[in-house]
Amino acid sequence: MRFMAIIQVLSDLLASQVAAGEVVERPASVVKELVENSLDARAATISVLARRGGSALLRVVDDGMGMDREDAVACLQRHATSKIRTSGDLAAIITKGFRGEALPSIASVSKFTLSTRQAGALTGTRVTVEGGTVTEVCDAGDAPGTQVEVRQLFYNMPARRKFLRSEDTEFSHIEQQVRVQALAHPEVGFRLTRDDRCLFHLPPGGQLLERIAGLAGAELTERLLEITDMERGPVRVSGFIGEAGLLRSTRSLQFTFLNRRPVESPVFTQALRGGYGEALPRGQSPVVFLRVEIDPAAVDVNVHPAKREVRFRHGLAVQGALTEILQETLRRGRAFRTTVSLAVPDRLPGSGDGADAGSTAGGRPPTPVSGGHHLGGSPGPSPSQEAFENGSRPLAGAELDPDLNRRSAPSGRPMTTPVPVPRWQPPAVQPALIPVEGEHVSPGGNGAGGASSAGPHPENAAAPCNGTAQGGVPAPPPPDASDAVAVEGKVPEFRVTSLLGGQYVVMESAEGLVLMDHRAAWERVLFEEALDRASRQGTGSQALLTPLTVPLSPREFDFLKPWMPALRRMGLGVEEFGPNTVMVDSLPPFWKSDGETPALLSALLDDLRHAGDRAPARRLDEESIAAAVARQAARRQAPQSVEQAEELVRRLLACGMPYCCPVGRPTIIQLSFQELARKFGRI
Amino acid sequence: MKFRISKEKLLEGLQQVQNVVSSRATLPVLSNVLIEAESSGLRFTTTDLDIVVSGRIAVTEEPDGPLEIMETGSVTLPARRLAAIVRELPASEVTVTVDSENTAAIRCGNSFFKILGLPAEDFPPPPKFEDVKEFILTQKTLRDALKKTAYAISTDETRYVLNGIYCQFKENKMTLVATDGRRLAMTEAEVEFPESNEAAVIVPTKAVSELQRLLKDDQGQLVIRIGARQIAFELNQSLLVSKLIEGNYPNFRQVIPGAANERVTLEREAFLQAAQRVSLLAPDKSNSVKLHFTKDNIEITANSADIGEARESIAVKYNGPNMAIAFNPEYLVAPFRNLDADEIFLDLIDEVSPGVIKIASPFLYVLMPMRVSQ
Repeated sequence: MRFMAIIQVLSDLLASQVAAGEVVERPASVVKELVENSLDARAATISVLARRGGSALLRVVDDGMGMDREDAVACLQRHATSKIRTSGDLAAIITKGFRGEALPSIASVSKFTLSTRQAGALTGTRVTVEGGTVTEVCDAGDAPGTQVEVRQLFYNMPARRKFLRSEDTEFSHIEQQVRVQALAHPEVGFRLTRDDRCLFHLPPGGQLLERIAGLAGAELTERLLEITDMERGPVRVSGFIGEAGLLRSTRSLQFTFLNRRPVESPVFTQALRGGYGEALPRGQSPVVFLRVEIDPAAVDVNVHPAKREVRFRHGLAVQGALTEILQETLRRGRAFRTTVSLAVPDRLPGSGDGADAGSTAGGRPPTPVSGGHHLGGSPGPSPSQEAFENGSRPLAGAELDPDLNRRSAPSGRPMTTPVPVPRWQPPAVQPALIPVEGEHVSPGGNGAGGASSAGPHPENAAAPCNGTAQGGVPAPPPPDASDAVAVEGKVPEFRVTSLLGGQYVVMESAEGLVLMDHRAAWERVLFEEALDRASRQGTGSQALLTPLTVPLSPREFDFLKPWMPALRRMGLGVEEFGPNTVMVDSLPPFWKSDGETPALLSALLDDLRHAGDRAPARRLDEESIAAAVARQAARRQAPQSVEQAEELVRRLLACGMPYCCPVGRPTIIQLSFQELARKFGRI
Repeated sequence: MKFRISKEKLLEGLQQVQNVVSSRATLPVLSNVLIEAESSGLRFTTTDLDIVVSGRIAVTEEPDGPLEIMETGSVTLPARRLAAIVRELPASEVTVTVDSENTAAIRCGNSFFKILGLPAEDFPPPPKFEDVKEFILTQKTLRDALKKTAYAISTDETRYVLNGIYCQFKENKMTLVATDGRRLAMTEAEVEFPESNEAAVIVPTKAVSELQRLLKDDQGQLVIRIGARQIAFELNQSLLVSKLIEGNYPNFRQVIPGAANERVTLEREAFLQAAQRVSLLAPDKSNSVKLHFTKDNIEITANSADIGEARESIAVKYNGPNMAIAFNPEYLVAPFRNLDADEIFLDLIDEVSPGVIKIASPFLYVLMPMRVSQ
């Protein structure tokens, strides 16, 4: 007897509760599982309601395909799933869920109600479960789709309940979860309600960019670069990435989706590091909304129950391909900036678009939290929204099936239609729903923020866009007049007030206090000038009356020799002049410190050598030379007067990427009035 | 110390010297103007330790003259503040009384100001001159020579010998040279002096600009005194003493090109305006304007990828081969702006060699071209 009692098979309930420990960590994980089920059920609109941070009630309502009574009961069994049938399916999973664990796990730790009706069925079914035991199955007359209510989560697991954080914290996790899903599925409508307040309502049928605008603020979208279905090796990528210099101190705006599934993977992290390269300072994260598609067979999502981690069969190849795509996009972002500034006519949003934008903006709520408004920005009531409310199935399932059709309907279609995100808005501010962190390094975000709060005057709004709008516009420039807001030559309204510590320039803008790092600003200006000089005619190198000769060590000399042509193209006329000596007979026009030219050369050599050491794989190209030239030249610039600082600001803002120096340090930081008020304890 | 003076004279005296006073003086007394009242006149002096400028207002014979010294003495008063006060005074006559505590009482009409000063003894004593060489020339000569060269002075502090005008007195000629390593301006004027007086010094930029301010009167004479470390300019009632830049000025003669291949004669005003117009499209200091030479024509062009392009043709006599040469617009127009001759000659060798600008009188401007990548 004493041998028998030791090992027993767990009861289903206990097994579910154990599984719940892995799957259901906190209310947000319930939301994740339920929303994913809704997505797998081809819902067009999903509403999430949470009371008291989700611990009192979580309700997820969708208008998906629903279930019949048999399925409704069966789905609460462990390992019951509609999503895979054979182990072959497991090898190439295209649905969100597949383990058949989620619902029974959730049901085992809560008071659970599932109501569902198929579109064609006369009546629906309601299943009530308490602590894993089905207590009632009855008819119900709901709208087609499925509604799941989870009450008193962890009521029967006091230990787990104790570990829940504050309501606010738990809710913020839920919010993040819904946001992630909303970004992964812009074609599906999402509504999130906290207690009785609607936090956001994103209409279905949207584009990714609208989603981003709706969730993170329209200003941000101006600094994003679009990736339009780029295929490289094993991956196919679309989405948006922030231009170099658009950085956050947390990863809160870093969204990566693999086959529509939000995932984090070291492979992605590494690819981002490599792609952004030096534009990504330590401790900063780029802003990305990246959708990566890959053959489902080449990736294993069955690593962890929460499926947040994935394993790639060819991780390195994926990483390499991603890195290349990112680099290309960032580079193109720069090139695009310089060309677009030429073509920009002095035109504000045209009549057509203006009206469009106006109506959208007008439809916006003055505050972010009032129910039922379309934050996504598409004007007018959306058809599917009405359909949802009328209780009829809005669109053919096939059209909306995100997973089955994702190949044929590429997620990041080129934006050929005008983006219904207004470039300028009436003063009604639309604060970002995503808390914008790291504001101190987000001059662009703030600068562009001027667009919304600078005032009702369009030109006011246009001005701060100058630096950002051009870079942020997706690459194939939409034939959208709103683009023209980025009026060339308009200087954002930064008023230089004083110089600080011989290093910083103090300015004010409509937004608040702006500080400019004098040296970083010069580096940026000179860097772009050097690149310009290398690439285009019309600028040149100023010849000297008497050439300077600079003796070098043999090592320096050998190192410099191959780079002389590139240096000459950048305006530094270096030539061999006998053994281990070079002659400088012309200098870039900005370089006026002839006496320090030898010092410049040797510092330049140091920089180049370091650049070579740091990234042996990376080609030591003109860009790194330009960066080194700019770095050395900028070291010798000191702010002398307010007038000079103003001139520098003007030149900085004319740059392709004014907000960071060539190695990614910010040139301008801003302390908004709000932030100041907070610091002074007024908020 | 007490004197009565007309408001205009007092203001004039202060304005002549207040420029030297730096707003961030290292010693408080350097912000002040030294005012010395002697029975013959009133002297104002300021200094920044490199330059001393002083001006004098003499007492005239007539009974109700603009200046009357009631009591001699000296004091230093804050220069800029004093000038600001005097500028705003309500009446035309000012009486200044300074007590033993160096406090000045300024009365004018119904206004009364009391200004705290510092003792005159605190003011740096005037520099001593040794081995002085003296030159006498007309103010006009020096004024013209400075105007033709001063704009080419280098602002690059790393080559401090270029931060001034090189003045050479040799073989009865005064030669002035200024260069920043990219262009060089040189002019000569006849000045008589004994051979033993030959000298060559570098006058710093600040002294040059102060001197230009003082050199208003075309008619008067000017005395230049050159010492071992200083130079003094004495004109009218004013005196300017400046330290010299010590160091060797580069051998400028070697950068002056020999014979030119082509010479075009330009009408100064017309060319200046055309070049300035075209330069509007090269606003960035790193841009260049290009001169395209074809038969009897120069086309000035500028283009900026961000803005657009500009071109303007000027008819000239030109028979040489077609060529194009690029210059920094600022460097190109500077001599045209500062010369007053109507005809200006531009001598060229080829597209990559320096251009030389000349006029009928002894003047030369060597201008290095910009190399534009093709």
